[in-house]
Amino acid sequence: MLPYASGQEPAIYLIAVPLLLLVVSAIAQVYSRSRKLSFVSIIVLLLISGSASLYLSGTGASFRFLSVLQANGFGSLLFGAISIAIVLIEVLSYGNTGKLQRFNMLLSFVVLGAFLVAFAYSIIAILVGVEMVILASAFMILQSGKNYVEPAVKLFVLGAVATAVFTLAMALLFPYDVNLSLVGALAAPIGKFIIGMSLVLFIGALSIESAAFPFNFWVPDVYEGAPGNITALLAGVNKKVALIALIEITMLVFAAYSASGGMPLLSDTLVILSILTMFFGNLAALVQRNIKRLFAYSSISQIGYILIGIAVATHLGVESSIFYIIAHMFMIIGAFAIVFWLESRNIRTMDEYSGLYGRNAFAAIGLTILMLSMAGIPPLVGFVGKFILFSSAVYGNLAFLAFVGVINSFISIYYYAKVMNQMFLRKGERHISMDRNIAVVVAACLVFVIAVGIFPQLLLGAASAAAAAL
Amino acid sequence: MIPLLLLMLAIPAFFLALLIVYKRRSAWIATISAASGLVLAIAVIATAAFSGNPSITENYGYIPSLSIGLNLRTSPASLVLLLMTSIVILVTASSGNIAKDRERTASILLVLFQIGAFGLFLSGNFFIFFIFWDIGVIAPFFMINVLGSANRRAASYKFIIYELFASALLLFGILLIYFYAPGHSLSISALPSAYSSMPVGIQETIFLLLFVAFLINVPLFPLHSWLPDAHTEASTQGSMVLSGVLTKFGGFGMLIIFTSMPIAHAYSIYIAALAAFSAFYAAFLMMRQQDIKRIVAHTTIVEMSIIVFAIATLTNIGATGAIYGMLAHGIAVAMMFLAAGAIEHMFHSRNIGFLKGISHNAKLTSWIFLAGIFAMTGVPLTAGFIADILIFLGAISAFGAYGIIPLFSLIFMGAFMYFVINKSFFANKGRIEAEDTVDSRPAVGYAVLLAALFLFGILPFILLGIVNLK
Repeated sequence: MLPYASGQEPAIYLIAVPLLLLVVSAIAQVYSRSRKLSFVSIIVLLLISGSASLYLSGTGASFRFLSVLQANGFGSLLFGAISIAIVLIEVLSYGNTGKLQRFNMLLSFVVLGAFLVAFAYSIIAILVGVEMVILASAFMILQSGKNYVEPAVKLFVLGAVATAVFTLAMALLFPYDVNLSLVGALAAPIGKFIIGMSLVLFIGALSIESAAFPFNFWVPDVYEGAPGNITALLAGVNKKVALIALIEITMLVFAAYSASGGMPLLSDTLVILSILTMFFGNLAALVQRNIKRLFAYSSISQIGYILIGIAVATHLGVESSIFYIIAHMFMIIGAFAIVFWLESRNIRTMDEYSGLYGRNAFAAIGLTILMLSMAGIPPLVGFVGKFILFSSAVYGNLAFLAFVGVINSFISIYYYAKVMNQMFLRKGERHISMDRNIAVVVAACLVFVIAVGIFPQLLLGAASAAAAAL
Repeated sequence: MIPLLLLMLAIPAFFLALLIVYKRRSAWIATISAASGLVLAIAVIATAAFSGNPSITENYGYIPSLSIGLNLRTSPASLVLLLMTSIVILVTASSGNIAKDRERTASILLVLFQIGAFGLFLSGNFFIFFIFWDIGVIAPFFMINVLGSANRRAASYKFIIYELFASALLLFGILLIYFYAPGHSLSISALPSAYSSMPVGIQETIFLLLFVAFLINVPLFPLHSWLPDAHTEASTQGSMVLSGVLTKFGGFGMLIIFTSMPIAHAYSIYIAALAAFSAFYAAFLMMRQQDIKRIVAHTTIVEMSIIVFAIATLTNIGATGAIYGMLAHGIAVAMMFLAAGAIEHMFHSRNIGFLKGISHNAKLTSWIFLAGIFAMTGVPLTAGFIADILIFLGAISAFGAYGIIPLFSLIFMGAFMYFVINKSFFANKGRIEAEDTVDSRPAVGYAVLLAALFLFGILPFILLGIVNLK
């Protein structure tokens, strides 16, 4: 990787400058009164930064900057997707009665954290980025009202534990890689045991944040406790940032280690995590009556699918993980947008969802399409994602993992169909109208799910280039 | 050169979009979509017949990065099934919605199903096959769940669980084909050569996965229990397409695997025995039924078992018989479900213990129901007769005199049906009066279906000419 070689370096300013402006103006606007100004400025700046990032990923440029960061197809594609997702979250939160300016300031930290992780060249950048995302979202929950102390504290404690484990993992690695840089580290892995331990600790720390199986106890409580728009942020962005960090750590930092015989440890750990996560998420979702908890467990199981691609660790595996990370981001934000809106109408449980089709057909059909996509029904984006994930598993000689995945997507049909069954009951209750900002978010997610589902090449090509850039 | 095959998918897709944006005259739009489907099907068949080449192919790029194309292709079997499908869907669209119940929803689902069915029979590779398979399953799910009768929730739930279990197995089988086929080709026409290059264990696994998937859809004995519920609780339109077209998905799939996987020879005798048992089992179950739609639903299991039996003979004449049988059964069962729907609409009951002497009020419907039974039991001059002759000729040449045994299940079925007709339709003792009337729309539907049944029964060489194109 040659620094400053591709001629696309100026594009990084189009990403970084609006981002800095975003953070500065968001902090400044905490003292201003205009909700609208805060709303517009964050959206415009994010869109500039996001589209520049997507442009950069299209050029295939690859270079280092600011000594701890690097730009390549991988980071810029995922950061572009995340900034669009955060625009959707911002639109979603506009109707909230809380103080939008304060929320936006914290949201700008989330963006900055995601930027650091996506463009990381050093493990330190990953650590700082991941922590920034977690802490900012914990404070976001806290500032939403007095009832939200419990989920906020849970998220905070969890972030602290994850940081501790992550730091320990870094410390174990430090003697062998004093730069703590992502690329070129560990060219000569000497003490294999220590490095293996460090690898497992890294995976552990990031599984806490991405909620892979043994560390997912916090997810349903925090999701249920937090306000819906922040739940959408946690499920759509926070977990994805942790997964991006996981891909970077396993594919770059430990690349040499894996190549020199450490691959079975890495792969086995992730395979076991993936299988347990899928089964736990899906089986626990079967018995949920609260829709938010149901989607919480469903999103746990979806993390398990993404782990398949990371466990396979081939080009196709990483490509499919990237594809599914982006796909799931929009599916879950759309779903939680509807859940968020219904929550504000005091509709939370499965029984209260019954007859939703009669009360608001758009919400019922939209949620149905998003759920079908999560269950992997063609021609929606979830199907394409699962197809390449499972085929990458078959290619990587992990056919049983593909089989477990197929069985799991079948199990998930059971609880999605249960929700659909309730929604299409005929009850003849009065109509409830959907807020415009929520309708916009749901419509955008639906367009993504259907369009990329029918024309998957739109995203597959970019995901493939991103995987190749690693 | 007009891209006829692509048009067969694009035109219904256009009408689907029109139905979604334009809220009036839905039934008309669906009928026009179905009629254009029939015109295109006839055009495709004419092209094939005049060029003497039954496999028309059209290839478009779809997902180049996975080397999966939008490959459309016809075969003799798919030409016949396309004709049958378009006739059934035309009648379903024009006459099936007797009560004019929620026409817009019904039309959207029907046109969606039309895309699924056409796409499935036109698919040239298994990826496309799977996509349209699931579209064809999801649309009827809502026909049951949203538009169905009293017990629809449990029935639709059972339906989706069974069918998506089938599609999970199918997906895993397809993934194995994708991995083991040389050049990762999913092409259906290249399957025989690709299959022979796979390891034997994988050949067996793929065959069994696909066989069980298709067995659930067809359905055969141990996994048939979704069908009576689903077909009974669906709307009249839903029952017509479920029974007439959806069960043929599995039959078409069976034809593909039995003709292109030589390993089928090792299993065919057991499969034939299972199919024969299934036919008798369903015929005896039918005799305990009270609900007229349930009775017709059980005839579907009997007939489809006989069709699988014909495919399992592995003879050319048996396969021809199976194709002809699917055509005859599809048209006949759609006619019987339409008649059953008309009876339910007129007498507000489906119970044969309650229905007495209804031919007094519903003369046309009663006679049509009788004609449907004629076609099912294979009375000469109907298409069912040709099918039965071919099937049992093939069975005798494959299994000797034992091959004739399943014929008795048809005799049991026919005997019971004539008994029902006699007691409930034509006997005058304890006659009941109609509570409602039907307009002329079902009559139009009867005319089209009856004409098709007799046309293909009296002039079998039309279709046999197509089937025997080589």
